[in-house]
Amino acid sequence: MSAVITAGGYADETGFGGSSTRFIWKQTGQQAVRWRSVSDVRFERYGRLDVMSKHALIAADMLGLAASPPRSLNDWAICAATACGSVDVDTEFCRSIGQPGGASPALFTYTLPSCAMAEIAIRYRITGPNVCLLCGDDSAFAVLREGLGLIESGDAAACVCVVADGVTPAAAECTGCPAGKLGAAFLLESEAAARDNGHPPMAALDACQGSPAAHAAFGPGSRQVAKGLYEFLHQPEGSGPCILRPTDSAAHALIARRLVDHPPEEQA
Amino acid sequence: MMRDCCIIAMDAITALGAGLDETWGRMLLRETGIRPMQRFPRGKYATDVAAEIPDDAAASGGFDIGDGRSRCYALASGVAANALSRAGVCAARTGLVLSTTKAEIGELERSVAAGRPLGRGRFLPHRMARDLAADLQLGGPVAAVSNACASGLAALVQAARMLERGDADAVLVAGADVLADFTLAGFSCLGALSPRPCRPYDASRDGLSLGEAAAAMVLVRGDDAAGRALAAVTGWAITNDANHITSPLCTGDGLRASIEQALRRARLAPSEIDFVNGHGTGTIQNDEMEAQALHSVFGNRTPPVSSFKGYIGHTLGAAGLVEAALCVRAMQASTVPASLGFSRLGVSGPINVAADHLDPARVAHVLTLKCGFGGINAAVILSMAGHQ
Repeated sequence: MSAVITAGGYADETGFGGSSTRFIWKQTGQQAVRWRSVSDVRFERYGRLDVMSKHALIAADMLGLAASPPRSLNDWAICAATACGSVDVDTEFCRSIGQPGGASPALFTYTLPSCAMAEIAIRYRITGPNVCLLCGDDSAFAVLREGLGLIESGDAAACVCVVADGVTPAAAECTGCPAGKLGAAFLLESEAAARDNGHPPMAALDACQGSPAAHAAFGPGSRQVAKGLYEFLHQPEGSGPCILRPTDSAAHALIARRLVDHPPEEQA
Repeated sequence: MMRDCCIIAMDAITALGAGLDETWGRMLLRETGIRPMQRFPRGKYATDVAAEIPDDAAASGGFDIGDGRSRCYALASGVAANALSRAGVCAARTGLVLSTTKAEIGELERSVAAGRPLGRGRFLPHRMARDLAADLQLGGPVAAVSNACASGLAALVQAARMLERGDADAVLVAGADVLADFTLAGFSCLGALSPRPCRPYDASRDGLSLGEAAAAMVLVRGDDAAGRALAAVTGWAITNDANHITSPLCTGDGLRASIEQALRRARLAPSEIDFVNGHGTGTIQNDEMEAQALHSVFGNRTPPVSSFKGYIGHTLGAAGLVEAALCVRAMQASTVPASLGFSRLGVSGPINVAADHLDPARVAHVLTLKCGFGGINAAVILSMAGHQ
């Protein structure tokens, strides 16, 4: 049994895009992605979130859950993964210790990488299984594999799979994680859930497995894997009907089969 | 589908001692590891007490905390190596799941304080997990789980899923967090620390006590346990309140859902649970929420409830694992340890908190609960070997 991918969202320094009802991709021309560029719905706490949570939320919002909510969210899961976690917030919080104003409780909260996942749960009222994995360069593979496993085992009918990072050059230097901001989200559903929720499948995810050779196929870092899958879903030109990135003679990295020929039209 | 998985080896170090035997023995003597801190200056934080592992106890237990890579790594690698050697599993087919909230955060603290570059990234949980796996020559998949204070149970669940999927034949689950300025300052500024040793579920409770610990377990599929099982992991669930980033849902509905799902997976009725190891941090909100959830599942006849935080403090990323290991000891000894610090019920849900040690005829099924920031609720059911 496989799961179907019914939506994908992506945000980085260059902009954001998704597959909610329309495919959107635009250059923001801003230093930071602003919530009002993404959604008309007010979100007053957005400014207090860390960079990782912001990008995770924007990518998740691009899944279109607000516009096309499922019937029930009790059996929906969230799997989040990050390569570098909250290093930037950790560093900022460390600096705030012993400062005249004292350590910041708002910062301390976001030193937990799972807060990005929690923000998505709160915003979309997703109450099912949730796990935050820290897997370095394997993050994108890990989160898709976890989501697929939850659906295959029947523990969840659907899973919002999120990869997010916010890595400053200083953090990149010491961790080896590529510098930059990333949020990518994919909505995995069982075929029955997709049907019930009225979410047309875009692709089938048959398998997912990380390995050094898999990274060689996609490029370094979880960003390349997430972006590769996002582009596969939304930009069919130049890619075939499926992604099959072999890792060695017996295993595969990620097998996704496109189920629609024409993704939603691009919005001007 | 795999019915359940079994714990075949375990080890832990806490403020009460190096090894589970010493920690358990001191719990039975009603000793607390929450004492004045030795490694942190008095008056700097909202409390001067915490469950700190004495350096001499760690050293005498064989933990290389002096000259090693870091305190957190020394404790984690020590218990992991001990559990692994007791399990006698094939390292090449063994995976690793690490549970921690801040890993080797001391490296980052020192770098920031000295204005130096951020070091070698050892404060990243996945880096620590990969180094542990390399040191122990594990050939299976490696992951780090960060589900706030529910990380330990989330890691246990993750290990069960790895076994269920056939990703590995055995999984080493390790959890570790140590006292640090980072966490002391963080919980201080949140106003969550009690100035005295914590008193979970008690009417006079006023906050939590931080602790440090490391624990490790080796899990295999039930079919592969072959007489080696210490206990089985028979039920589990992780849910989210989807309500608030720091505060738990006061109705306890999220935790209730988690408990009910875990019971269904374990195919147990609420009446079959012999003992509930609560999260019981000693904060007003957590304990109240927990009592509401337990009352809604068990009604007016809750099994004995005990929090271990009064003995070993809140050990954050290690809490789920170290307390699960102590639950296994409770099953082996048929003893429900008293909830240390409790004397008068201070929650509105009428739960049966164990004020004294209890010695029921058997403790066959234990429900252990952990909750974390971000509305995370984890429930795991451990069953005595042969009773699953």
